Amino acid sequence: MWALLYKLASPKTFYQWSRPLMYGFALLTIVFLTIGIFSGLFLAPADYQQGDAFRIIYIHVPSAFMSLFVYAIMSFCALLIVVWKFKMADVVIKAAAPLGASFTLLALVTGSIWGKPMWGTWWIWDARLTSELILLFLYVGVMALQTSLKNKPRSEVIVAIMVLIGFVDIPIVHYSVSWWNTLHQGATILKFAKPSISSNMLYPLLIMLMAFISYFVTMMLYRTRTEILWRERKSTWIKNVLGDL
Amino acid sequence: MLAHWLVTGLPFILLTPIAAFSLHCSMDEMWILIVSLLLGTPILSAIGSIVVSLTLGLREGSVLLALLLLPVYIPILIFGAGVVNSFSLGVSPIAEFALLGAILIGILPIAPVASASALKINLG
Amino acid sequence: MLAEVFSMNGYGVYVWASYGIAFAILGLNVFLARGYRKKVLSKVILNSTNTQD
Repeated sequence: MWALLYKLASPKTFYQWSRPLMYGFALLTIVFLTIGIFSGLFLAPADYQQGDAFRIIYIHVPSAFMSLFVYAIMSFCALLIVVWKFKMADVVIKAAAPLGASFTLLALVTGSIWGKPMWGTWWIWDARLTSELILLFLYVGVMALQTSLKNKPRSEVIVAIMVLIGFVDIPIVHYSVSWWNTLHQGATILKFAKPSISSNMLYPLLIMLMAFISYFVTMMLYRTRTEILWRERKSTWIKNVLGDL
Repeated sequence: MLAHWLVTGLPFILLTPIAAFSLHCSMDEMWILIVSLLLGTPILSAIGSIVVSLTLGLREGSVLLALLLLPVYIPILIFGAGVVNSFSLGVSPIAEFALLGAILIGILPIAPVASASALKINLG
Repeated sequence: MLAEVFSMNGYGVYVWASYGIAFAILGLNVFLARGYRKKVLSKVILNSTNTQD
């Protein structure tokens, strides 16, 4: 089993099997996004408290979830680098960081736009908002570190250590709404027992979440393939691949 | 790392009573503040030592250092400030103490190892 | 009728702005990734033709 995993994770085989997978996820993204946006904007009923403004949730919550999820993936890869010296994990961190930063920025901006009509302010220094902003700085910091470490040997270990230090922020973001009772509302979906949201509002949200996840996977595969192309540019199999084009 | 804390953290804690009295804090608040600083400043020194060794020898080192330290310092500062805040509001600050203590226990054994390996890569 | 749907009971500006920004950011990511790949591809092809010469 380990032999198979190693084979699948080698740059050459990855480059081969990731191509159809990428197109599959791209298709999924389009399908989920179309259904999700249509049902979120037009089919879901307006919230009895927030009116139609709550429809921002279909962008805000998936991107906030992804901002944490992507950092968790990066931390897992950092662990793979530090403990098992796994080569491909560095490529994944490099591909994931800008995507994570985009999701975090999106969560902050849509939250701000949502906050204006609901709370009467674009921004407050609430625990959830502040820790999410810190997450954005973490992503930017990791990206800056990667850029300035370019071409240095064993730079992946340094990036991995930085990613792992920053992981402290993830539980803080996640639990901030329950630790500090502030303006930001509590969790509505990730309560497994009984989500405090009605089902015809929930389904578009779950579909949008699937859309964001497929988008992330598609972009990850795309960026990873580019990165492999660059790192393996001197190997013979790349020349064969390019010969087919 | 210990030396760094001795020259930056310790004098700060010794100065706390003076600052506290000039800001009209009560005696209890001052002791709480001192405990939170005792827990918090070693964390700052430990994280600082790791991040500095990560960016050592880089051209954009100093800017990068600020960018990387900012997000990891802020949570610690928030918890530290939260201690006095919740105490002065009459809430028990034990939750913030526990968090600071947990982070301190977590970071202390990791910091020397992480700094050492980062230094080895950057300088070796 | 249609204008009513788009105004979202007065919240239209906020809702449409959010969706617009979402598309802008997600689209920008695709755009940048494509640009980067094109750059890498041209460099790699140049590289391989140079070594063959």
